[in-house]
Amino acid sequence: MADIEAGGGGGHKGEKKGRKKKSVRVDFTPLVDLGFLLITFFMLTTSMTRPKTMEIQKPKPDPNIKEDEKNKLKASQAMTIFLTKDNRIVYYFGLMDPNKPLTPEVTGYGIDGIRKILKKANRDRNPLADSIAIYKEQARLNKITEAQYKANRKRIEDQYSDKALVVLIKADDTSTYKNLVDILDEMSITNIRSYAIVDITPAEVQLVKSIIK
Amino acid sequence: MDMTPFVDIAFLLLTFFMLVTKFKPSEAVPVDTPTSTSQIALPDKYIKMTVDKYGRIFFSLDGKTARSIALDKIAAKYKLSITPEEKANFMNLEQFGVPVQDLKKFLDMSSDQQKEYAMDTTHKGIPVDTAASGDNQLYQWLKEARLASPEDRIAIKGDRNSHVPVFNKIIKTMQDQDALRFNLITGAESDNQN
Repeated sequence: MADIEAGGGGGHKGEKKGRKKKSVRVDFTPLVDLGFLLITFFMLTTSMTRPKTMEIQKPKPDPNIKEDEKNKLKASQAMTIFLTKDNRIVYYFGLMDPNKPLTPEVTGYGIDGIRKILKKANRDRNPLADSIAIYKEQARLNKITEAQYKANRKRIEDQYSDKALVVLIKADDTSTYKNLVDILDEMSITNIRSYAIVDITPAEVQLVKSIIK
Repeated sequence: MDMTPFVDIAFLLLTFFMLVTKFKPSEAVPVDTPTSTSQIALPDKYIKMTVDKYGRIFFSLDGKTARSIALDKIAAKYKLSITPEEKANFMNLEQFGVPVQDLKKFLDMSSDQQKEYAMDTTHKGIPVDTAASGDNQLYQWLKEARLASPEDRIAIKGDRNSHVPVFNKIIKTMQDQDALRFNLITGAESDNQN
């Protein structure tokens, strides 16, 4: 394996026997041991998956817009979600209206909680909402391209754009960052086009408090 | 038996892992990110604001030149006299969460002392006061960081148990300087596709 032909007499000038070939056997085992130790180390420390991110695009705040102009939203489109303590969600449909009392309800995160409600609400306003999910799945399996998926999604969404669900997300002081990320994730899972993170008002904090004791 | 090919492969693998390994930058505080189904990978270079579970804000900027430029601007703005040693220390700092008033003291510390400083929760991180009259130091850092490396995306990394108001403040701070696109760093989540 590791025979090295070495000239035996590098430093013995003038010696007659100096040119005689000598075989030196080097033991490579420690080198290989070290090599594998290092491989193991690098294999264990390498993280191949990079962390994922969510991209957020906020609108530019315009100081010229008055407060009452902000919510030019039809009551049939609006859904408000409050994120509050203990991973709970309070939500209601429609807008604050003195003539019609709100009917807020409480739910949780995940597939049996808010996702079910969002899916139903989205489907009620856009009967083709489920096909977006099908296109999305096909794009994920590379059966159609990302561009095709986007074009199809846009076509479906434009068809019902005046009816589509608009979700207002309002997080109170007791909710956690995980709740916020989870709800944004639900928005992308349920393919909701329009949603916004809005500051909660003191009146709304009181409303949530009165529901969740 | 001839072991040479075996050893060759071993060293080939070693070389491969050595080259692909990118060590995690040392973080001042442990942060447990929430997971999401998002599949977008994080860009290579970014300006990062980290929020730990106590709601303290830490700031990181990639690239030593960018750090040096940003520090100079901040030092000029807050009238700090930064020595070359302190500057060198700052350029090697992956992440910091100190008010500007404590910055000089912080840069004079050894790295162990800096770790202790970060672990001590009586220290509040970078002040972010979004009131009009307030001293919003995060705003200044972000502004200088964006000027120093204008190509970088802005990323927010938050602990899952931190509360939302501090994120609203950060977002407000970004909106105030028209930084409207940003990324939230999350872990990957494999299930929940439907």
